[in-house]
Amino acid sequence: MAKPPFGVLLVTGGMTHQEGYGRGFQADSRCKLIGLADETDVDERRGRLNRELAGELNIPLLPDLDQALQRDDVDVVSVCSEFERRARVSEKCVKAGKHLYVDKPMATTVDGARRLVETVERAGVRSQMFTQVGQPYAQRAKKIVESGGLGELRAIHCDLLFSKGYTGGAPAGVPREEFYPPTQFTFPDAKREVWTTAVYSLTLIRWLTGREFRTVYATTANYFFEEHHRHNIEDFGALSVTLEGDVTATIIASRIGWQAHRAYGPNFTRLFGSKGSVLIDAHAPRWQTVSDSASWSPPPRDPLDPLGFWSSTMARAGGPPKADWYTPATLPAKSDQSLFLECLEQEKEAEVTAADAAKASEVMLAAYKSAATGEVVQLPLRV
Amino acid sequence: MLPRYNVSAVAYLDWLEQTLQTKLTSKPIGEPVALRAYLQLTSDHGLLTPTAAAAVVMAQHWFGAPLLSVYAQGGAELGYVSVLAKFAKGQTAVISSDLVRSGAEPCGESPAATLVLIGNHGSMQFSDSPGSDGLPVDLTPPDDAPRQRLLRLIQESLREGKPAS
Repeated sequence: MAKPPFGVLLVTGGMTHQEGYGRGFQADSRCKLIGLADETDVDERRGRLNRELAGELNIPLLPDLDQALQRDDVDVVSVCSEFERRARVSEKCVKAGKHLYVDKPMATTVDGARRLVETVERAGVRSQMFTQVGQPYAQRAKKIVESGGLGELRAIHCDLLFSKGYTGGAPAGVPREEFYPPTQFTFPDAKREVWTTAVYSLTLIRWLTGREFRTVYATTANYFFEEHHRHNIEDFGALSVTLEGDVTATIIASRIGWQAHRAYGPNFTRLFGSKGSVLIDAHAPRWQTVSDSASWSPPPRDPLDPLGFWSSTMARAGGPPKADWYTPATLPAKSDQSLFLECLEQEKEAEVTAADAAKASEVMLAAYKSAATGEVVQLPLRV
Repeated sequence: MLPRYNVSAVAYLDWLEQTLQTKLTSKPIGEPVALRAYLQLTSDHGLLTPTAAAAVVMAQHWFGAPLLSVYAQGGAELGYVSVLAKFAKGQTAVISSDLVRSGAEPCGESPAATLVLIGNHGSMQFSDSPGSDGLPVDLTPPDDAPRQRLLRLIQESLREGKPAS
């Protein structure tokens, strides 16, 4: 087993969450960034974005992933390749014996997810998918559940809605016709919001309960954004799921626009147990500021990133952060990258492994199936 | 009309619905498209489903669209009822009606309502602890024909384990 400092290879660069993950690893003294690599046949845009992030992080660009994976000084890969090639690239890295840190969601197909899990198990490496379980609200929920004060958990409700993007352009009053299976996940200017947001809630629910999902009922919608409407993808989803042991959960996952919230969007976790219940607002307790300062304005619309996904485009826009609400920390936040390094150091399983990630992908695909058919979908999903 | 704005004079959910119904005519958030409601209003198991039904009817009025279907989970015996409701113009409501247990740890549960109404150009949030100021408030869910129809649909969904319409 490798010991710190761990050599970390970034796989795929700019305009992905690697912008944050790479900096998270770089800031941690337990690791050293070896370089940024990718497959040799990436298109010109991807190649340019890879060069740009490698330059910003001041690390070598290693243009051939296969060669980079042969290096002995690479212990860990951080994979942020586009959704459609993420599982394949991750599998290649794992086969090379590298520990896997992977962006969410991990795989676009159930087969792809299961194959990657098997590869991780065979290779005997550690794996972790990025989630929010290290965030204070999630840590708080975990402590409450573990305290036993709520008794046995019976129902969980999670709302995660990101307040980003310019609303308008989605036709009002027109129900969405979902289709299954989803055929495309990566778009230059939009993301499927069930795919990229519900994954946080699904992993949180499974992490809190330790139970497997059994059924999914879901609906999707286009309420807000022209970009989602143009690509025929959802900007809103609601899921109602059952888990083992008669536990149930509901989820709202969405992106609702820059001006739709004083902070970065509603984030509620409701826990209902046999003895008690609690509603955790990730923005509470908070200070609310009212002053004669100019009110907050969203950043100028960036045609390359109109929905505000990436830290690089937000930094380029130069707008100030929202400041009306100040939420003091009640528990320390743990960066997701530091959680993974902790697992490597202590030779323990991650909180959200590739196996957990595969379950989340399966539930989300089942949610699309349910939204398309209007029926309750049983899990495991038949493929 | 005056009694409708007096929370002590009408059922709480009627009061809640009517106050926002008026506000929504000025389109403060554009068109309402989704509602999340956390309602913990009753210590009577038998009123959990009627409360959820009343909340779905409230959403229906705010959305201005007929109901398409409801999918419900939980049940009176479990102390909660959750409903995912779909409406004809594509709107969505996710509602939970949970039991108030005064003996719950650490300091008991009190009636509470938290709602987030999402519009296509903004959102509105409402939080209340009805009755906490000592003034009388009627938390019994309204019981008229539309709510009774919803009640039957939710009960059907709970019984069958699938959406009801």
